Amino acid sequence: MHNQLETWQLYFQTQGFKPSQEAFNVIWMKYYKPLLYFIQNMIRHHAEDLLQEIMMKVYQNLDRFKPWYSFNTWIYTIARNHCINYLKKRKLDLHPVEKWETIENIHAHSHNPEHQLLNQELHQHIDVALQSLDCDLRQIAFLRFYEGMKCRDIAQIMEIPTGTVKSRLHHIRQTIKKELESYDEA
Amino acid sequence: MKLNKWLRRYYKDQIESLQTLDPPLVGQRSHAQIPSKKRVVQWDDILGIIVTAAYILQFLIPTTWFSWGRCLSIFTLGF
Repeated sequence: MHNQLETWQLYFQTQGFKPSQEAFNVIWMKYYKPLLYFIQNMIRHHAEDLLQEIMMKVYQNLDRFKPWYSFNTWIYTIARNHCINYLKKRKLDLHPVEKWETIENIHAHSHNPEHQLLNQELHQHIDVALQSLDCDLRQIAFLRFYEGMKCRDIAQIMEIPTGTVKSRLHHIRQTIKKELESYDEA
Repeated sequence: MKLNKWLRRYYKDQIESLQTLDPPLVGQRSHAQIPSKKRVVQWDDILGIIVTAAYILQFLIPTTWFSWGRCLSIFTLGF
């Protein structure tokens, strides 16, 4: 992960944030899957279309990006705002309660049977815990535990105070820990 | 720390399981999405305005101007 980060950051350090097909490909390869997952947390349907729209927005505004800011924060802020606007335009619920993909489907993609066995039960518990959280909390959990973002950056993306992010993270941890207690005991 | 590790692995697996998508060609799409603001006036635009003006004039202005308007409209329509 660290090497990958260094590679794409190195590209922009040498080439600058200029819109080009090559720059777009670098961003796409780094971000399309995490962004798609992030979008799916908010909007299950048309997530791929929204991903393309967000990527185009990022590309068109690439020369406006200030290199001294965090690119991660910038791209996720664009993604979240775009999704909120999409939901507002269609007068949809900001926190749609939608069923996540079942754990069986997720593991159908994995080709390593040992890996499947080791993780399936744990992931089922995590899945249940995350499903019980609302959309905002799921996004905070993703930004923190997958992207490893600081509370300050998450607060900027979610447009909430840093203290609120900290208290929500505490709530997320408690919810997941509670769900995982049964797994730990087993 | 254990929880962080588990969650990270969970997200990694979820993200890896997502469908692989190829990047679209942005150069072509972006040009198609943002049309040029510069509008070039073509000669047929001007001719169209003259024909329309002549046609309207023949109803609005009587006597001498009437015939001028009619002549102009017949002339331009004849093109």
